[in-house]
Amino acid sequence: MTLEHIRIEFRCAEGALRRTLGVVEARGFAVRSMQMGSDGDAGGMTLALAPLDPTRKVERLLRQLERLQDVQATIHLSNATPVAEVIHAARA
Amino acid sequence: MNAMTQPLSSPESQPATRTGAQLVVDTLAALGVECVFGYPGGAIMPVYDALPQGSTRHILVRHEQAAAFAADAYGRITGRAGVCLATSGPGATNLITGIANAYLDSVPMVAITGQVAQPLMGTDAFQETDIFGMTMPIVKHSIIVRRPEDIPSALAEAFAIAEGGRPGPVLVDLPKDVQQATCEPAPMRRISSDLLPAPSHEAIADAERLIAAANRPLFYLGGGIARANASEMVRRIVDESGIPAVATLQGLGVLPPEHPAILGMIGMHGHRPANMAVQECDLLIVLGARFDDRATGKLAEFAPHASVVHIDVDAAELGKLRFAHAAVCGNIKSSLGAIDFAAGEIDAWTTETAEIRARHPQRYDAPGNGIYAPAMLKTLSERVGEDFVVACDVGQHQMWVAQHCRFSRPQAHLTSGGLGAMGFGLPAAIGAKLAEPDKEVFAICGDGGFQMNIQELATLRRYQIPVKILLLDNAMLGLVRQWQELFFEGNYSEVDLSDNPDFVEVANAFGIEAFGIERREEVDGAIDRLINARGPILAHVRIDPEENVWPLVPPGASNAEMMEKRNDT
Repeated sequence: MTLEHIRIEFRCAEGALRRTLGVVEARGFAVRSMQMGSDGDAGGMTLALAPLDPTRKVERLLRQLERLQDVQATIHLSNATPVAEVIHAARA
Repeated sequence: MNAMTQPLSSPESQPATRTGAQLVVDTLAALGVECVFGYPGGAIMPVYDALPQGSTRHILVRHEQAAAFAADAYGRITGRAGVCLATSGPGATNLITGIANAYLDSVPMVAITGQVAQPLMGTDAFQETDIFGMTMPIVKHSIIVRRPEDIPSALAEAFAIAEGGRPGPVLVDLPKDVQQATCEPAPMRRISSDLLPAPSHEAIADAERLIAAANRPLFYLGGGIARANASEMVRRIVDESGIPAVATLQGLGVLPPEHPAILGMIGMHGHRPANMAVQECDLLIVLGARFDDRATGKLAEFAPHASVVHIDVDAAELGKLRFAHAAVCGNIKSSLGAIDFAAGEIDAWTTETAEIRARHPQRYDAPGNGIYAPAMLKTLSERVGEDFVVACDVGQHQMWVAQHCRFSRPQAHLTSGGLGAMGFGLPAAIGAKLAEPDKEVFAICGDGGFQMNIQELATLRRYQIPVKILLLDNAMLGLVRQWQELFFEGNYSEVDLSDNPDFVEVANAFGIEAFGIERREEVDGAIDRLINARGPILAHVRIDPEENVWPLVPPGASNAEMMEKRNDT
């Protein structure tokens, strides 16, 4: 299975991280890796996601994320990295 | 969001400092909130202490779930956020079903919950629950207010979010210490909702191209039309274009059933002409609907010959379940105003749909002397006329209401569509009557759902709210029984409610006038008595436990596979 990579830029309000990751999982994607940083009110995270089944489309997920009040932008980065490489990188 | 500052009230009328709780009350008044539904408890007591000094009316319900359902109905009718208020812990968790209901039906609501004091948050304190976290998947947004001076702007933001764009519920969690602390009241930042997105020229052009080329177009009317208050505009466009229409459960009433273009409700218990037309159309023009599975049946076989023009304020709905050949994101009114609905040659199609409709009229000639609920509901709605408002529970009676009652506007039909929450009817009727006191509001309930919020008879009694209750009692969980009959080989498991209480005596014990009927010849008199009653009243109507809702599309089947009553001729 290939991973989908997305970037989410968001306002660092209380609950924003939980809410965002909650939507990702509830809409059928497992988070395989995550990087996050914040600078004052602005935050950003890059996620590697594994769709739970082939019907789960990342474009639809991005539109769901954009409904959140705290989310300011979403970007679909790529979908090329195999799961095994991410696991390997995580273990390393 | 656009913000501008506004004092909560004139400076001379305000003391120099206010508690957080007083600011809650001040802000509700400043936002024009006339009525809140709630139930007090430890962590919200400061707000209750301040409430009598404010101008907002509080309706004390007897269970927090009822507060949320009543606020939901208030929001559906007025288009402004209904407000419910509860304490922390169990008070807050009891709101959850009502919040989910508002979320799934896109209803504007603000739920205000007390929370334990901030030093206790995260310690498993008495009546502490993480309601902020628990409700995240079922709210449009949520806020924990950490400082009393933030309360006015937080509440203003909550209302703007709840009512703007695609409406939905917003939770505001108020720690007790924030309610108790004092501060210099800052001007409230009044926040107006974001301007709704304007539909793109490309999408409009795509839509017009598809409509112009269509010979068998069909409007698919959803709940978003009511939320956008666009019913009149839709009627005018349907009249001018001549394009036939079907409605979802939430779209009923956009066109009254006698309108020549409407073919009825689609879906599992939809009208046969509506389901047939969808299967034959070459273009679906979807207005504020989301292709819910109860409406579409087997999605892959839904409208198999149709292209789709999908108009919705929520971009996430466009293409979510069905590809949209023209995806128009924007407010329904501005989108409709921008589109030319001149279709191709559709005379043959409109003749065909009119013939389908004529071939499949509703039938009310049920055998026997028992009360046939569909006929009673039809008569009741026609007798009351334009002032008819219904809040119903969930189950067979809900589908009969949808199939047989006449609604002249979608706001007159209050039903738990997305969540399918039993117990909605009575508290929703309370909210509806307070929102529209000049309308005739009926709670139409089944015996199962009625008992889920039966305690609200006390609320009716206390405030003398003249809700008329029509309790259709088949001594069964009827829709579950029907499915067990049809799809579980008649293995009736835990659906028997034959030991129901005497509902007339129960109502009387709550101080509510009540009477019972069980024969067909008693129906007209019962309807007269309900309509003429000045206060709250309950009619207990015994119906056949074996009566089913027809037609029925079996679960997982195409809408083309409608089952009909076995003895139908």
